[in-house]
Amino acid sequence: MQNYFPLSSTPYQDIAKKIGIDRDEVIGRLKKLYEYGIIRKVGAILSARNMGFVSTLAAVSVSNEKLDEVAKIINRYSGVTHNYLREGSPNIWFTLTEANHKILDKHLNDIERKINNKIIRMPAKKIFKIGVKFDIR
Amino acid sequence: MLSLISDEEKSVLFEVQRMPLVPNPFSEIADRIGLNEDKVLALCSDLLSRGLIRRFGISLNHRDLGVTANLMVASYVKEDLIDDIGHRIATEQEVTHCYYRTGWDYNLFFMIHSDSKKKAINLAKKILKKVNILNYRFIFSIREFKKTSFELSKQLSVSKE
Repeated sequence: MQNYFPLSSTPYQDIAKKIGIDRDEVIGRLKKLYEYGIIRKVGAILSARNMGFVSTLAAVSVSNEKLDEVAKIINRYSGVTHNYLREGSPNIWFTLTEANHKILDKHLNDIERKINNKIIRMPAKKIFKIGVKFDIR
Repeated sequence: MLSLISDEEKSVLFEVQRMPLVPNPFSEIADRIGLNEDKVLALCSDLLSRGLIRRFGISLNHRDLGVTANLMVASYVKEDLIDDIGHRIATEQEVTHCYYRTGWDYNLFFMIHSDSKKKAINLAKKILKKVNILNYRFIFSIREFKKTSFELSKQLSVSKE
């Protein structure tokens, strides 16, 4: 049901019927999967872009001893959806999504000030492909 | 853009991001925001068709599923070739994302997820050769500090932008 969640009054019942178990077992299994951290959420995945939000990829070079501190400062912004330590320089790479350019720039400037380091801003000019989908059977 | 979304829609968008694990989840959401269940379902299907909701389903913490190598390839392509090469790279099955970006030494970015680093490198090299890109950099992820899907916050769901 990675991509199956019926828009009906009884979605879990519908899923249960489809896979041949009962409704409470579907709900119970989902609760367990949450608990184990296998699933992040059940529900709607929104398209920030189609909602009119703006975003950018950003990167900054940070020394090893400051990695955790800087990552924490960046992660505090709810518009940060991805944040990775990567090989080479720059080494911290994150994406920031906000309601408009003004807020986006403000948050990037804020982060720059807090970490005292210049952030490379790499907004997308064109998207050729987007989306990860893993088939699980 | 955000102003095109009504307050009613914003409330629905906010709530359906995490469906309650109860027999009638849409009915519970309807109660929370003061609409009826049919209205919530109708709004959801409209938001889906307009693409504001990308999909309904489960989001996985994919690190737990054996997808370990996350390779970002940053490459440089001449401006007039970007469209053509970008589209060609995007057709490769193992490429999950492909973007034309500004602001750095490289302008064409793509991502490859694989179960091993070696496989990812081989794949990337094959693709780069195919489209004749010579200037590139492999940037593997070492650690994940944060990975989540975009979520609408409560404040924004009721504010007027």
